Amino acid sequence: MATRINIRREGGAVVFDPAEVTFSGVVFWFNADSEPHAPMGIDVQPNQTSSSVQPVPTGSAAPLPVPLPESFSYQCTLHAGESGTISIYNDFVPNLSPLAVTKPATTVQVATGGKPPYVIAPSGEPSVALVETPQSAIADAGINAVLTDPPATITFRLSATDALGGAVDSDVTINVS
Amino acid sequence: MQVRTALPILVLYAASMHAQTGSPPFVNPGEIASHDGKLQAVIVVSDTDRVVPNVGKVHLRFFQGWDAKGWDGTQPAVKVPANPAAFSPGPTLRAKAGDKVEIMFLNTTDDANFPNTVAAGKCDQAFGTKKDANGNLVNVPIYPLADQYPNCFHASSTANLHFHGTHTTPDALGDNVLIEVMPVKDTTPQKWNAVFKKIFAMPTIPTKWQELPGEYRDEQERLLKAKGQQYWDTNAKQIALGQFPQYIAGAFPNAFILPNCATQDGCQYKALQSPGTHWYHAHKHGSTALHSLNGLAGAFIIEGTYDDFLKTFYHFGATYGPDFEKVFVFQEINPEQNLHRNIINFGAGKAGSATGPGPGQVLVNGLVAPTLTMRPGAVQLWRIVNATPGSAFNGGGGGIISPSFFQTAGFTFEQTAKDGVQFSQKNFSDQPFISNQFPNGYNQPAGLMVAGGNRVDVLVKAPAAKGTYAFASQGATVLWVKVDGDPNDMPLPDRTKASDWPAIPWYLTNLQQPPTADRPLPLSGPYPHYVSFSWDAESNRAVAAAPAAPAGKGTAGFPPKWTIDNRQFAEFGPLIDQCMPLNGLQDWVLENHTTVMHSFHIHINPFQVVSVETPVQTTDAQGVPTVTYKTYTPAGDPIWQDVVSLPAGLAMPLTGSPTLTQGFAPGRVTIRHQFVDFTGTFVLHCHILGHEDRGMMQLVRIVPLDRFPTDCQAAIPHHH
Repeated sequence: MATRINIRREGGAVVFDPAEVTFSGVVFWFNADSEPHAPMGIDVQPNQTSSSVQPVPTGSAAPLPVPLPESFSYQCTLHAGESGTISIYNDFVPNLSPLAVTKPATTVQVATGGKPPYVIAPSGEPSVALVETPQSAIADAGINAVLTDPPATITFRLSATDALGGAVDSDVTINVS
Repeated sequence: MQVRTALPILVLYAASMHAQTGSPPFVNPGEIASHDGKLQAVIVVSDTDRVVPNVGKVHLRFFQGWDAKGWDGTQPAVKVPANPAAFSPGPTLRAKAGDKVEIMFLNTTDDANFPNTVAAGKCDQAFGTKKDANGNLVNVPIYPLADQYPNCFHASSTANLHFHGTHTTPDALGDNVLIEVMPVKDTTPQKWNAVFKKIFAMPTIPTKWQELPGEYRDEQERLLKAKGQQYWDTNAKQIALGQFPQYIAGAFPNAFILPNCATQDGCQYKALQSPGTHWYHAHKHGSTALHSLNGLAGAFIIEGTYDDFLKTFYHFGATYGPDFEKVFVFQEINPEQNLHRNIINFGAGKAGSATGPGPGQVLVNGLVAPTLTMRPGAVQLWRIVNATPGSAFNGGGGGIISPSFFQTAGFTFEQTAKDGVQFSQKNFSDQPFISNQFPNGYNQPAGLMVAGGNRVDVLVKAPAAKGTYAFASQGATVLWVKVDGDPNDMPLPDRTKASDWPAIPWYLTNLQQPPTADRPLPLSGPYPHYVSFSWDAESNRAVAAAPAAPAGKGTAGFPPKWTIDNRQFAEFGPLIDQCMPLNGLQDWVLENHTTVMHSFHIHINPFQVVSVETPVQTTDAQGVPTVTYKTYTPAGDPIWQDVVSLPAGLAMPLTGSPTLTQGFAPGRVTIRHQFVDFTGTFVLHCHILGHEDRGMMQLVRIVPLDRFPTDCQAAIPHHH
């Protein structure tokens, strides 16, 4: 997904709107100011958009995988003191099905990433309740399936959206042993 | 010959699949149909937030349209699709052979919502990031690297329409992909309605810019000068040379005839529009792949004698029954080009997955694995369009509908047409694709495969056993069919009875062996005419040098430089790459000098596939590895197509073949085609659209015989 970052003037100061994107997303800037700017050294003329930028850092300074979410700063290389921030979240994706759970455990994470809170549709199966993964470990944000007296194999539809607008619409199968 | 039919045990297996909880119901895309000999429509490309299944809200360009018959210029009562926020293909267009097509095409894209969208004569730029010493992000160039304008991704807010599969004029208001309709975000169809009505009402469709009404030309000049004087200056030069101008601002009138005659006697055409499943999509060089990934495509169904037969066979009357004709538009959706990002970001680790958000997610009419319902024993006509960019790069080919789809246990399949051209009686009887005669050109199991740009029509008969059946492509379920309700045992045409399938129309009879004198330029060159698909083939590189694997993008040789006949599109300046006299009848040998597949497509006239030669690794009598060719020649009639997959070449130790060079055995397809009815300039290209955007395209020109070859290189369009 390409996220637009507006460059605008507020009370005489230039503002780069903060952005929240996912790992697979890119950003670009739209310059609503009357002067050129260069966020991260990328030229953007007035009333124009910039080239696209994949914000997740690569290279030796930040070996992959980058622990996410994380916020990063950047500077305008034309104007000292002008800066912005980009927060990067893991992609909101279903875990590869089929999943497995061994009793007595009753919880299995069925989707990871994205930004809480999530809007989660009921699974349609009485034995499966879908809830947010507890927030204590935000790096593993996502959705858990909590099982109650499940059959040996259960399949249901996972439909959910996260706070960034990401969506999952996927069949999930869990094998219980 | 057997058409694939399920064994009972497989029926039980397939039907035991779990109910596809939450799978949306299959629906045909919305439709705009012709009336009284005219397909009158407004098609708008605009942009909005769309909800893409399994991805979420994405800002994309989209097609929306409406029936313009009797439209008074006010807000239309019905738009197709009604709700662009829900992802779907563009409206299906439905016409009859012989109809006149009148389409007001508008581009109201707001280019402030997209990066890299200005047609400024340069490649897109894209960056990654790294942290500097202070922990701030700074840019790292990702694209264009070695790509050079115009053979690079660029100018994606410009657009046009290609009517893929139509036999019509390639120039002026016809199937003209050499124009660039630039966005004017605040323009409206109401503004253009009066002048477009005047254009469409002209007794002869304009073929020159000067023939268009002055108010249209004046407004175009005003709008283009407002965008930049250079755009109008370019147009003015082209108009002075007698060309149709390159740049259009906001609104373009597509107007052309779909040729038809009641009988051959007295017909003004040598070939007619083949009735069948065709499609339309944006075709701006440098943006075709991204436009496809944004969903800018729709089906274009042209009805004729083929449909008359089917409707009569099934006793439908004038129209297909509501549960009979199903239109499938396969698409992959992504807001960005793959090369605009570091390789690490392909699908966020879900590359090639049919359920993931990255490249490889295949949608059917905008839906992930929808459920189509059939009654036990019922027959449906499935019209299938592969509107994906056709890439087989990411995880094995999300852009291909694989043979497994047509091998679903329990169902019986009879293919009736390929690329919008009906089968002959012999081919309908033989079923050369489903019965594994025709090699599919890709590294796929044998069977019917649908590459990017291909269409197939298939009669599908449901099993008698109720159940839910999974239709898989590339290892993932892309469709569920629920067989339910009261039995409705419908017949399939009996392939052993000639009366159960219509004879091929006169204009689709087999092309005869061409006279050797009837050859393209240079007249002294080898014949049949060779067209070579290659990579990195400029003089200082080895023809068969495969690029390194993309473990770390930016490696020398990756991404490869795609070429045809050792040059990229317009690489050395304006050039008509292929020039033929009107009515020329020629054999071309399409060679694939790479180790990946390519799909050859040529506009305006379909071709017949005479042979397919697939190189196969083998061992000679001395135990030395070598290459032989597995050759397909039609047992029946050569099949008409407009996209054909070229088998990958093999780099191997070779002995003894005069056609093999540098230890490399190219894949090879021989086609026969005739360039009839329409002079003009158009293109051929690889229908893996990222290859086309990045150079794998040529200009083709048909000139009157008395102007051949004089006019071949005259006034060449400069359309990038």
